[in-house]
Amino acid sequence: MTAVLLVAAVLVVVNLLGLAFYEHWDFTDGRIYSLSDFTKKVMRELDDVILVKLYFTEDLPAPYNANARYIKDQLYEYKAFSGGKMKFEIIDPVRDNKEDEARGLNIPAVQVNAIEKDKIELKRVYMGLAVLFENKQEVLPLIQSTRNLEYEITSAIKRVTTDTTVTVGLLAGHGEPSAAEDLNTIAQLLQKQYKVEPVTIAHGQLIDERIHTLLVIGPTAPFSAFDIYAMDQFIMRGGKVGWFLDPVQVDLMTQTAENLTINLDTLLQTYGIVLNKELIIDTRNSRVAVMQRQGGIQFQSVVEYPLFPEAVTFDEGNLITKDLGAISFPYVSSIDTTAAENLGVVLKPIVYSSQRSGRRRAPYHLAPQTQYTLNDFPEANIPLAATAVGMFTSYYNEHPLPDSGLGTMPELQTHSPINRMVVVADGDFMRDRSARNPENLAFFLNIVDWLSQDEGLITIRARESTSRPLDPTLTDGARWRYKYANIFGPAVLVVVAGIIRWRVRIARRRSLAAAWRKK
Amino acid sequence: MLTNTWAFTRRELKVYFNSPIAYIIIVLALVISGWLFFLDFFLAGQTTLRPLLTGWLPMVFLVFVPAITMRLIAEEKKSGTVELLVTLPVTDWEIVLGKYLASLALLGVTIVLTFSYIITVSLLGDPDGGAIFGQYAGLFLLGATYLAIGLFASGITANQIVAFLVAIVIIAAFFLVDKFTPFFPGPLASVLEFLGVNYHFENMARGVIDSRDLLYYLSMIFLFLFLAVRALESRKWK
Repeated sequence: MTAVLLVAAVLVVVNLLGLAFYEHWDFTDGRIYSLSDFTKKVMRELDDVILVKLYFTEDLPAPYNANARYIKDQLYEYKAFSGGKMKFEIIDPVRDNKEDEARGLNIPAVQVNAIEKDKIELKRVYMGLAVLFENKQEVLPLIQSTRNLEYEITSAIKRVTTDTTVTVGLLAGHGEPSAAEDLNTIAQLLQKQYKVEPVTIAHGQLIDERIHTLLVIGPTAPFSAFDIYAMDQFIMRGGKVGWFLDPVQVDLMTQTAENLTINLDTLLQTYGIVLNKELIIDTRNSRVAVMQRQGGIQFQSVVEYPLFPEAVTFDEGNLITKDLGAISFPYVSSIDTTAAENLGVVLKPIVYSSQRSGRRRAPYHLAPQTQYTLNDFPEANIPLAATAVGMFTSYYNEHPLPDSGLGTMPELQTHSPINRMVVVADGDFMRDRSARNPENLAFFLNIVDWLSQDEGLITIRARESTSRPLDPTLTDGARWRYKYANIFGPAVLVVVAGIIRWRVRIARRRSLAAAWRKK
Repeated sequence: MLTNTWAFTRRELKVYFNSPIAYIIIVLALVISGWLFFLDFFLAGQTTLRPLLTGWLPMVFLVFVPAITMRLIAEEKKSGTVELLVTLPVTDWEIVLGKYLASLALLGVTIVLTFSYIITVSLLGDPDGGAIFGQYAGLFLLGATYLAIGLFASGITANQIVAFLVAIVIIAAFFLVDKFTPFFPGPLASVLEFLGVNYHFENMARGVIDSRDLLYYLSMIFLFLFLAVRALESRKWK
């Protein structure tokens, strides 16, 4: 008995040691379970127990079943690195009678097509996830694609486990709209997650270091030399900027538009960003209501308006445009992507115009009645928004410093750390009057999230799709053959081998017996 | 040591393959698991073997493995040949290991026979080879653990039916233990989860091999083989 206990004790110790020193090999194609170093660090540094509740219906139809599998598997991986600090529960809200609980977490029931008894039926399912930590919770209400799952789970964990709230600044003083007028909707949405405050650049004062992300939305008045300096040094110190700029100013009252000069062009050019002074026209657009007169009768009609492009072409791999529908831009310009070359900055378009679009330069004709022909839309995929990532160089490496008005200036930062910005060639799409399109708001919030997130989250890579479908052209006959070949094929092999062995033994026994008799 | 062990392995393999029992067990395991797998394979529409390798086969093994192992020591005890065995100039470890390797070979043959499914999914799409590798590795280790348990159960009794039932009970306990974790407080739940074979198996079935899971399986196998040796030794003291 003592020996048994001793062996058991040794095995327990060996396994406990194994928990401390382990190795982990991911053999899957594309190493789909391997977590980024950042996620591993987040999991290792958990200081209290985190609970992940997966609200997933059992027996989801394809292709969601593969997602469910992958999400569970990925959670095992998180757990493996949590040092016992992560628990996870799998709940089928319908089966477990927890629909109220799911609803309480804003995880909705959704309808999907399912084949049951060879009939296509609508099935009510849940595909959500909640991360609970102390008294905080984060929810991924509907997981339809697993491409960016690690990013989403890790950022949810990061959000519930960190207390610091990022401060987002709205630049003011150059005719930008404020939270009180025109940005009401987005300000309210931002305040759920961020501390939002207006930022006015005072002469002689740099932008407050508390501001993590600065949003420059549709300025119409020129930037002073010192404003430029403050912006440049904000970026050089690692501040994140979202530029939402209108190179062409449209006056809706007079129905006129003209190119706008607000001194930002040369600053942006140093960072590799150039906005074209033009308006994009697109065959994919939002319609507008116009008054028309025909034969003395005035009536309202709805017409296509190519100057209100609806963008549906995105960089699918980018987190900002992931899962977005159609963004509607009320007048939008474009981005010149060639300017970033040789600057060490990676400028990546994230939103494009449609397959049939064109450019209009001054003088602009805005009237909805303007007639267009297909020849007016010769271009495809004109970049409308882009991200810029890299080490940006200061504007003042090539330009003289401005007068600070104070005599002494803080030491000039000539290069930024690895930094990122987003530029959209429109400063209107997120305003209250455009907020009727929820995709516009989602796009805007995604930009702010992307700018404000922890640096480590950016390093999380997207995964290839985990769905590996069967050949869809398979006939019923082929299915039948594959099925029975697999069920009975190997079994028949075993039986045949058994019979052969049996016959051989009988034959051998007979020959042995015969040999015996001869003797 | 090796030659003695090998002699026992060969002897047991001969017994397996000279009687119809092994063939019947293998055929039943293959047909039942295959049938269950194809119930929704085309409906799920994915080139994955996971339902088979991590769902149906482990379930079938619950009965298949005790059926393979129940005879191994119990029969020797019943027929009295165990007295002869323990007087041979071989160690108890050699006897147990020899018998264990024979049952492992039988398991290996059964698993290799399911490779037809790998061919099938490769023809029908683009399966994840790494995941399949992990699933097979996990299935083999799971089966190997079950076999060690079955061998131990066979060692504590002279009755094959008792050995069969005891093996099923112990295997089922390790198979199901992690299902009861919600009823236990946190730290105890983690321990139970670690003890259960499923947690480690699920982990490997993804295609991720973790030294902790390997260590668990090897520890379990060693523990039950050790217990089987003790059960055999116990004859000497009577």
